Amino acid sequence: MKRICTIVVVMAMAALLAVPVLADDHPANEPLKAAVDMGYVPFAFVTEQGEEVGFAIDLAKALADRLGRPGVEIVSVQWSGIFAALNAKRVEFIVAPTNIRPSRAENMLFTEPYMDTAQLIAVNAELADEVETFTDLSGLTIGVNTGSVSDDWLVNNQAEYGFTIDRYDSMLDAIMAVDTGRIDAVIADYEALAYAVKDKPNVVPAITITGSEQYGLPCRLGDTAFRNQLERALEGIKLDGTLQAIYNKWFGMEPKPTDAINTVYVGYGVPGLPGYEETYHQPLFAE
Amino acid sequence: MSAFIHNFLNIDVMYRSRIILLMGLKNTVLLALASLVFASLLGLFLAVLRELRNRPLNLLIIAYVDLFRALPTIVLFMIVYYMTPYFSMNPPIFWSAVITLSLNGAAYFEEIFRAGIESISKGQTEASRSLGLTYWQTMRHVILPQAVRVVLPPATSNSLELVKTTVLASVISMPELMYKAQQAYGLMANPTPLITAALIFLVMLWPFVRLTSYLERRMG
Amino acid sequence: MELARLIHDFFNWHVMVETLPMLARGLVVTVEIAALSLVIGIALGLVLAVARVAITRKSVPLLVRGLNLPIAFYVDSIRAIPPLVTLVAVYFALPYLGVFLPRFWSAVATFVLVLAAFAEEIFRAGIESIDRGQTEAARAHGLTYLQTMRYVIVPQALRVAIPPLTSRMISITKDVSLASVIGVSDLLKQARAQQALTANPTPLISAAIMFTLLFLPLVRLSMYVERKLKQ
Repeated sequence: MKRICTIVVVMAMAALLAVPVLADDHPANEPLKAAVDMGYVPFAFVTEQGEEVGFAIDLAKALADRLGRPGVEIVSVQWSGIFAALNAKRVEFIVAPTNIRPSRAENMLFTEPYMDTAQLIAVNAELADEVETFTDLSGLTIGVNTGSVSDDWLVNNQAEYGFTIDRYDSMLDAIMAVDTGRIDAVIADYEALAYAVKDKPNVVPAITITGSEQYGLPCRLGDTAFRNQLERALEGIKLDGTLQAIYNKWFGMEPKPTDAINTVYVGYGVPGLPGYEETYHQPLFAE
Repeated sequence: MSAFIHNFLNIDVMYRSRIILLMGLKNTVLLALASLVFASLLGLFLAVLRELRNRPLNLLIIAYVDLFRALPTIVLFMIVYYMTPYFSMNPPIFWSAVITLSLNGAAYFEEIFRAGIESISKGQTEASRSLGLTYWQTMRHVILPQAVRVVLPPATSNSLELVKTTVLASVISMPELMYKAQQAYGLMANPTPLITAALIFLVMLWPFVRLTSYLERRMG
Repeated sequence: MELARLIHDFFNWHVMVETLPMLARGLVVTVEIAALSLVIGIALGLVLAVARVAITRKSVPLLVRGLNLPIAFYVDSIRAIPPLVTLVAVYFALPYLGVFLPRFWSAVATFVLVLAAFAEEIFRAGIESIDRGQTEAARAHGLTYLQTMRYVIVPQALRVAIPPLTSRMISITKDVSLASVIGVSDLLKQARAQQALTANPTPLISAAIMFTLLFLPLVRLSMYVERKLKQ
């Protein structure tokens, strides 16, 4: 009896350790797994009816369709853990809007840019008249989504302008903190923040920070074949108007002609950054 | 006062968030039931294994119980979530949560069941064996039924704790009740959904709190 | 399972060493919150338990006895609602009442509320388990009610209360890492931040090891104390 139990236990442990090497990361007959940070309006959020909608979700669906995959599986991960989820192979790529950065390009494989963006600082309505330039930020407490590029901007400019940084686990939490008066301001990506404060009279946009910010789609480092295929699909939906239609649906206007959404870049990846391949290829068009 | 009601007991917000909250509640109930089943079964299995008095096996079980009682469950959730893909398993978040809660809960159930089994005197085991019953028959027909009575108060209490622990699954983005309440809070800029979620838990679990107190008083 | 990749991603020695100082800082915060919550929570719980026993005596006027209801409601609510929900509600909801507690104190306040509720039940059960004869004898000797409580009943009740109380104290201390959810820079929050910064999940394992080393002796100690007091 004792011996049987011991053997069963040992076998169970052996089975657990001996499971064969990971199966195919991008199975062709399964839905495309994409990561989003749910609640990041209007890219990925839940409506009152409980439906998951958003620009990023529509983008993922369009890509899955173009790649010939049976639909999409949206996996929600908190932003601060989204890259870990990608590397842990919980998702195939990230469709949440991810700013392209050289430091990030060293840890993941970006596709070419698909949209231009900027940063926005919104403040509590009581401060609306006082805050117009960066120097007005002195002494204020600014909330931010941990690990976002807004976080980086704050860290890089803190010494110069003298504000305090307060980190939150989501953009919405930071916005709510401004709404209730806990902190003075919040900084986040332009589109998302502008959309989110539309119905919040206590929080008003104050300073727009334009630069050369662009969104790309991160894939795992080394997952080159998939990234290339994904990029071909991305170029396909740029060229035949699918992506522009999605943009119009969520932002209520046509994108600017110079926006990355209307630009197809030569080669795979972001020119000038790690992971770039100057390989000529055809976009993936619908059949 | 009216500001209080507007912000915390806002009927309009409660109504608008009903679908989101109900989705969360459904997931919480499913998660709780699945985890309770697996946790108690695993705990029972381990407790019975310990009665075999096999020294190496016992050491393994003791190590397991100590580890999972010392490690905070919230940390365990994250470890299971990030580690399972490395074992060729990519369970949906629901099952990640069930695995976590079951591993954690089983450690506590094992101790409860063990105390129960050991509280039944050795004489019973010896008498049954001498009457010709096998080890498993003795367990099944003599020891375990009596142990159930002893075990009921701490087991109910532990089950209640496990149901409350399901909210920790929100940190791995499992859409249970509290996660959904936070989503609704962000969507409507009003904390009423958070209070509503708390009230739902209160209404759902208060009977079990009373039941646990009653059982503990009767058997204590 | 790719063993090499698992070790590199979760048991990366280099990352462990690099992130240790930040994790240690988080551990200090965890211990601070735990210590404050435990001390204040138990004290409050004891006060509430004695109060509840005192005001539910037959000799007390009905109006005063009614005070038992809000306390009972508070205690039962805390026991039915998950601590994380209480934590989030306290942190997000209080500002709407004009109360702006910093995260750290929001967390301490919540854990004090939670522990006090559980401690009240444990102490009250302990007090009620003491034989009535003790109270009667003490009163007969001329001691006032409060003196009876302080010198005769409560010390004996404490002995009964210690096993479930230590178990609950450990449980609350483990729950302190929930404070990371509202952004307190405790051990878990630091671990997650380091995980994001180094793009490597090893800090989670480091934190897990630190938690285990912290709690394992406490768990064993409480089991030892339980056994000793049963004798």
